[in-house]
Amino acid sequence: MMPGFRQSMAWLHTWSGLLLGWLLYAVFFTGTTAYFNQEITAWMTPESVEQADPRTAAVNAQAWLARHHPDAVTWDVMLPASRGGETRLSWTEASSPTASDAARGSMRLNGRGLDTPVPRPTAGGQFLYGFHYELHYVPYRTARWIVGLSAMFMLVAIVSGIVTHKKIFADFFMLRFGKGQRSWLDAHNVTAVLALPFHLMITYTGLVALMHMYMPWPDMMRPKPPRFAPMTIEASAAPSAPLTALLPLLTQASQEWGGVQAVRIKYQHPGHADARITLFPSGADSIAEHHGAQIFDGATGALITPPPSTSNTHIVESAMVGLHAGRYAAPTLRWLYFLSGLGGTVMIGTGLLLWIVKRRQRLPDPEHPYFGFRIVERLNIGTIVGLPAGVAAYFLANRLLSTDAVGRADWEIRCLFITWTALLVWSIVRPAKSAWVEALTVCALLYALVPIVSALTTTRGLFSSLITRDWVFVSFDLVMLITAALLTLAVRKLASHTPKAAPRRKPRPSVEAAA
Amino acid sequence: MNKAILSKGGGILLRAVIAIPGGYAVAALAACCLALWLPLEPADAVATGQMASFAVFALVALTSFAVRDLGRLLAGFMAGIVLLGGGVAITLWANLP
Repeated sequence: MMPGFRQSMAWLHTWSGLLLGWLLYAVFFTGTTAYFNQEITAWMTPESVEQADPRTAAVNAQAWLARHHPDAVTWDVMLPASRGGETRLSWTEASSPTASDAARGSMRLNGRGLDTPVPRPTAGGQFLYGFHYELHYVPYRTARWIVGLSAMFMLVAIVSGIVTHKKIFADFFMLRFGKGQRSWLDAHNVTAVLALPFHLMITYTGLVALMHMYMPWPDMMRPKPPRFAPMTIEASAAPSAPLTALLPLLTQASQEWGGVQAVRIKYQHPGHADARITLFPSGADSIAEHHGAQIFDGATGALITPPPSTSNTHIVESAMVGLHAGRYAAPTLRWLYFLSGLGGTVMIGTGLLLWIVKRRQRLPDPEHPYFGFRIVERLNIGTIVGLPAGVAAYFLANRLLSTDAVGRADWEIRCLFITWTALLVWSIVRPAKSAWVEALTVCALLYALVPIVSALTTTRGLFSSLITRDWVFVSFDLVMLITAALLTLAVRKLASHTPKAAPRRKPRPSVEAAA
Repeated sequence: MNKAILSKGGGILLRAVIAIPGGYAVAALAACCLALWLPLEPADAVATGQMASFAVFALVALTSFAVRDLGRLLAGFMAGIVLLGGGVAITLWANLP
């Protein structure tokens, strides 16, 4: 049973990893950037230098909504985090009888909740974060299902991979450079083992984060009282009454939560006697969510519902989601998250390369590989290099597009996909090795250009950021330069590389050979 | 590629069907059983079932490619569906007002 078992797991590892590998690569890559999404947004809005202040933002956001949408049925305010960012508002108008999208609106204010004209509209790091589970150009529900399916494939690939590479932990100490296939396998193993708990955790908790969507059946089988009364979109019949002052509520909630600040404020029927204000605690202070939301009477300011007690199950669930998102992580841990995410990206990338490297030696006619081989080979180049190049183009577009261009935020995103598509097409029309060298060169060039263009087009280039000790900007530019340097190394190594004649060895029924 | 699986076991498609839609079905039924049977608050029982369901899914997917005998695999899968599905059905029926 055992050898057969290992072989079938190796087979499963190969194919579950390959089938959705490119999508997983994109999910891991963009998901990794999301650990710094607020820092990326800060870099992409270099004109805004104000420090975010959640409490001020809350008061200003409420004033903005009261001025512009006094008749809305609901308001929803997402406050900026302490790491920065903007205030995001949305509302539902009473005019429409159904909850159609037409009745909803949204608006972004700055980190102090002020409606200053945004000098450089951008989707910022939020776009990369959103892409990692909702993709783009795909309806978001469909995208979530696609990403969920690929997460299941990832889970299966990880477990079958552990079974396959029985010697994985021993091999971990062997990193053999310049040995062709062996080196790729070593690189795959090192990145897999080094952050194995991270890979398992991030994949499983990603599924748990959307479990009510992926597994709605238990919710239907055992109806339960909702944790919060659902927001109604019916217009209020109550007489109008002014909203209570917000700051005392924020202070009271924060005291109840042991110092945790509110991160989100929901209003129902603002401006009426039956107004409700719900405050949600921030997840930035601990992994798990220990505190429930607090609901206040919007007219009198009285606490309506004591916060629902948090059960152990709820703490486990919120700890899983908290571990995934890493919002609690202080800088050192945040960088570890980032590095682990990069490790996962490299693990997937090297796994995809291994599929090709292993099969190239056994091609019946190396000049004319079979169709499936060519597809995987080209998708590898087009995705492994194309997506990072697209992200660099996204950053460059942020600096190069005219700051008042119409739809510039959308154009930044288009630049990402145009670059990605261009490299994919390029990798299809060129011979494989030239395509690798050329795509990597373009990618390195794009990353090297980011800090240069930034220094030329804004006042916050690397040197001025060093002088002003603006570590977010310094780190961003340095990461760009390090990426460019590593890519250049890869280009030089690849350009001088001539594939050795594959050592002819007797094909043995090795488990690794099936990996 | 492992020839043994393709030629001898055959039914790569059947295994994939058991692994993916079948695995989802078993996971969903297992989650419902936990949601119905766990002696917890409804919200907690539901969440526990949902959290555990992805491990069940992965287990079924791995098993459907690990068991060599296609007949045994199919029998085991059907048994699982019938047991879990029957459990859910009986519990729901017993709880009818």
